[in-house]
Amino acid sequence: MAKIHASKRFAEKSSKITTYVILTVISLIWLFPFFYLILQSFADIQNTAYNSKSIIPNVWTFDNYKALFTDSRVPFMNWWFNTLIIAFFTALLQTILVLMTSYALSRLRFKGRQGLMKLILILGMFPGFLGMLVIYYILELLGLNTSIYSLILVYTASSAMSYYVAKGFFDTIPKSLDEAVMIDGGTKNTVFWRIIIPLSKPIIIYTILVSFTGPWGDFMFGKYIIQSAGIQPQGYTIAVGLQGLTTMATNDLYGAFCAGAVLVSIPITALFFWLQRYYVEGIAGGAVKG
Amino acid sequence: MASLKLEHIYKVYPNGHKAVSDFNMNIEDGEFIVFVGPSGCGKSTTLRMIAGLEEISTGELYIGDTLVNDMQPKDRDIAMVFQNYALYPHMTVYENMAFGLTLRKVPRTEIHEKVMWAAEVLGLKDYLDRKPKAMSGGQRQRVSLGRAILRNPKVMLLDEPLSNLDAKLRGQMRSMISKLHQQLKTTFIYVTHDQVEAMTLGTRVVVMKLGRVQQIDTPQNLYDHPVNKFVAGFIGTPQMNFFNVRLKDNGKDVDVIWQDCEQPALKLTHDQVLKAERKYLTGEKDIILGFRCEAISADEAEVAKGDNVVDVTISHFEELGNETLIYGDLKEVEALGEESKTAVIIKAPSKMGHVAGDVIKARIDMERIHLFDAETEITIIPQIPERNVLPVTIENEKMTLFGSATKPQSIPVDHLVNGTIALPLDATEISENGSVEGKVELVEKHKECSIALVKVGDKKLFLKVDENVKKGSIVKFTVDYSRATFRDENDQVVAEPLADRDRVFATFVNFKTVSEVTKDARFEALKQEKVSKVQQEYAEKRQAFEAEKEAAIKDAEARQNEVNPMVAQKEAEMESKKAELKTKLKEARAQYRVDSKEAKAKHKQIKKEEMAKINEQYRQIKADEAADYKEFMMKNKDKESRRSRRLSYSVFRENFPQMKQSEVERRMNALDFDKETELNGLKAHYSQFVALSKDKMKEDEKLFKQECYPLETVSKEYEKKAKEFDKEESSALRRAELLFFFKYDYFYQLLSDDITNKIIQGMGERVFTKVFRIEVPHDGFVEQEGALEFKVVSLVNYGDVKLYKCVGNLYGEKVTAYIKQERDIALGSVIHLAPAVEKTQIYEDERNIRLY
Repeated sequence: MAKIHASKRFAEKSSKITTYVILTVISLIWLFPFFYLILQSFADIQNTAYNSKSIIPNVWTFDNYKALFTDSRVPFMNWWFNTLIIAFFTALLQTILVLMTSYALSRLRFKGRQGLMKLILILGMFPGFLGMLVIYYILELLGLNTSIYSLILVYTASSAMSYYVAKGFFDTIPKSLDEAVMIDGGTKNTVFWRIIIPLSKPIIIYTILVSFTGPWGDFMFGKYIIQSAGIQPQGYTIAVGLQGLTTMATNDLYGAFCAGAVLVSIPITALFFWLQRYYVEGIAGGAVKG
Repeated sequence: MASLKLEHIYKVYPNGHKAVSDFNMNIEDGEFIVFVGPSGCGKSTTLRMIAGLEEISTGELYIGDTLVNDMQPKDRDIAMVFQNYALYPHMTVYENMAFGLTLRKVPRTEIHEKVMWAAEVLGLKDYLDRKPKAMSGGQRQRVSLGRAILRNPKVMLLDEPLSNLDAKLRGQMRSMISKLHQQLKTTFIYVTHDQVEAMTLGTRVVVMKLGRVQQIDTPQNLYDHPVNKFVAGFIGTPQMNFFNVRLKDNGKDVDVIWQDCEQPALKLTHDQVLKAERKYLTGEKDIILGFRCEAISADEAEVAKGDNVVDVTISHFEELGNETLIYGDLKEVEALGEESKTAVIIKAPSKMGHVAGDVIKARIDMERIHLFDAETEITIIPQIPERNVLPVTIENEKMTLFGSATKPQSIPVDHLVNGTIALPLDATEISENGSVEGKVELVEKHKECSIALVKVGDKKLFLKVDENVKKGSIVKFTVDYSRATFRDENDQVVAEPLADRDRVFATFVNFKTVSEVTKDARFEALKQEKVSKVQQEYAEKRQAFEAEKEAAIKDAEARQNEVNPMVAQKEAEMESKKAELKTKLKEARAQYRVDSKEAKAKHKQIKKEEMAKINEQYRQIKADEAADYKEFMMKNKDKESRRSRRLSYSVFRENFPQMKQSEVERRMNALDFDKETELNGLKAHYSQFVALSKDKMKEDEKLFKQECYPLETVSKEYEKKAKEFDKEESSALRRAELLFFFKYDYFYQLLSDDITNKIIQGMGERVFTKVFRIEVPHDGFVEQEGALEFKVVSLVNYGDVKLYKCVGNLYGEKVTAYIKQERDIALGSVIHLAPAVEKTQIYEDERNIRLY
């Protein structure tokens, strides 16, 4: 009896150990580029002792970070603010659009609702860059191709297409709440602004995060417009600007690239930590039976 | 508080499914109505249509005297309690209850009073700062009730409010709802599938099945006089016992024979089946016999009475404590075909010493049985019989019915021996100049009307009477033979009654079509007349309005001149008041911040202490167990018990962290709820203060404006009123220009707004493409120039009733109409008749719905 128990315990323990080993290996593989990037941002690449193959830098320095703010070839602050403005407005508009679309698709029954949902699903399967050429021509027609801020329009235009998650969330909010509001004297607007939105904090946070990180890290559209319109380096976005550092004739800005990449993650991290407390707050409890 | 009227309400889904069919009901002010039925019977749909959450397909719904079909739920002044409570989870109980009134812009002090009142009534005072998730199901449903009652709505709607609660809570809530109803005296409409709730709560109960109303009655009447087998089986637990039988009149009394059996088993007296039609007593019709478990008794004293005793083989018992249900099979039926085999349930005070398998004797109380037609499942002994069926003989122009008399000329039967005549109850009417005389043997009072059993010669029949008729008195009545059905001795129909109504078909057309098709100036004149009437009305109204405005402005001007010198000073006062408020609000905000900070710190401390306590407690538990284990191992040398102790210790050690964790979570959650409640309270207090002071300020400002600038205020007010007036006028004029007609082949009949509304309401955009069937009663035709042309063919004589038979031609087909006319009309003459639409019934056959 006891023997059986003991052998069972051993089996349990060993399977746990195996699981943790596998998980550790996977996470090491996954985290390695980040560690490498962070460590490289502190490496003095001008120094002769520098060896790009060693993970831990031989010579430590802050020069890379300094260069981001002092080197005239690297208008990092400009890039940073350009991208922040684009990402902020995109996030704002996209969140509103996504929430409204999701609410409509979740609550209203109108002709062609099913068809519309299917159409959006299929359209979403086409890779976005396929439309780039056309988008550029449209921007040109509208006279918007000369500014990097037209990216806000490009990013926002398709935002309603990512309604799935929010719609799924709204579907879980009982319809009887809507009905209670209607009887209490409200309209569909009251339902949306005073019931659905306060209850949807987690999904709003999710939408904001997703719609912020998209434009914040996007490289392709930015590069395309910048290249086609011949925009000066001051007007670059972060991703385009940083990529430019690695392709310069002199290779001395590689460290600055690494430092920039580290700094890029700061706003997103801050945003996440700020919003996270709302994100985990399970607020929908107690509405109905349960 | 209001009454409700539901008229021909239908709910038809786009796929043609009818969830509710022809729902008619008048609900009086203050009634407690319960809709009950199995799931899918349309009870919830009906309630949701009343609430306005579901569109009414056709039919009309009145709350009070207002038609509310097209009204939003919020404008209907109703409140609803949902099955799943539907509380707003992000609001506290207080906010939940106040939400409706806040949306309606009720002053805050009033809201506060009402919330406090509702909380008092429902025992929620201690929970006002909680959020729904921190409450139990019963408490949540009380909040939901509170939210509904504090609005003091005209009608309270409750959609299965108790079905999510456990049995005990359900009982408590049931009595609470009952008490609330007595206290509020509002009309309640309550939906449930639980017949116990229906019976205990309702003043009247509506039993529904498959979208149709089965019976609307008081709980007692539902139990005692179910109109059909469904209601009989649905109401009452345990279910009613049903058996297939036949009834045979043997002259002395009526035999009840089990189906497939020869021997009569039970006996009914003639009086018990007085209201049953004769065809049911011939022994040929299948009948369902029903009796409840308390109408059959295994009691010795009962059985000793000797009659109507049956043998029952006991199969099992259900002991309920205060009584016992005996389940068994009727022995007589056991040997017969599968169809007649049914279980019987007997209510008894105890097992009475029997065991399963015993055969016992039981007596059925024949006064308390129910009989249903096996085909239609409708009761054959209704409270108010639909018709009287009497034996009749017609020979040589003589009719032997109430004595022997000359046969009324128009009865289309010349020879009938031992036949029957079926007369609907309305076809006989008490009247001074009635031709038949009888003696009242019995008077029964029902809610709708009283009926009397009248004996004429050797025949007995039921008549509708008024309350003054006494037993034993002599009454005279008329007989309308036009509505009689004659059958021969083989029960074959030999003469149908004359239809109650004549039918004509019409289409619905608008003014434009009529005037373009007919090019008749008369219709234009009709329209002009209607429009000018409205114009006139509004011209008068406008005059009155202008006069009122002028006077008000004059008055305001005078006041303005008076007040002008003081304006500057008052402005200054107002400014200082505003500044004062600002500082006050600032202080309150600071105070609130401090308070909530303190509260947070306090709770952090409490949590910390609690955590320490738990840690200490669990450290102790762990240490105790370890010491115990050690001691055991020291003292005990027995191998087996040492091993089992070791095992239990290792299990303890393994589970210990989880045990501790769950305890921590439990206690921390409880503390979190306390913290949240306290913080909510502080916040509510603060925001209440802010809102109230702001409201007060607004009010002051308004008063100040009114006082210092009366001219401006008054003229603004009248500008607004004038705008409203203009809007009202233009919409009235627009409506006046809308004229609709029924088109009967060549005749166009102008419809009243009332009927137009009903038809458009019912048909929507399809109204112009459908054909309507219009059923006109005999007195529903009026003579009108230019109307449908009819030729009077003959005078139909049914004794007390005389009708003119007229023939006309519509859509190329012959149409016959029987009309009742006061004046004498020469046979062969041509008259013009129009249906009086108010008296008719209007149907649309394609969707099979009644519109009017």
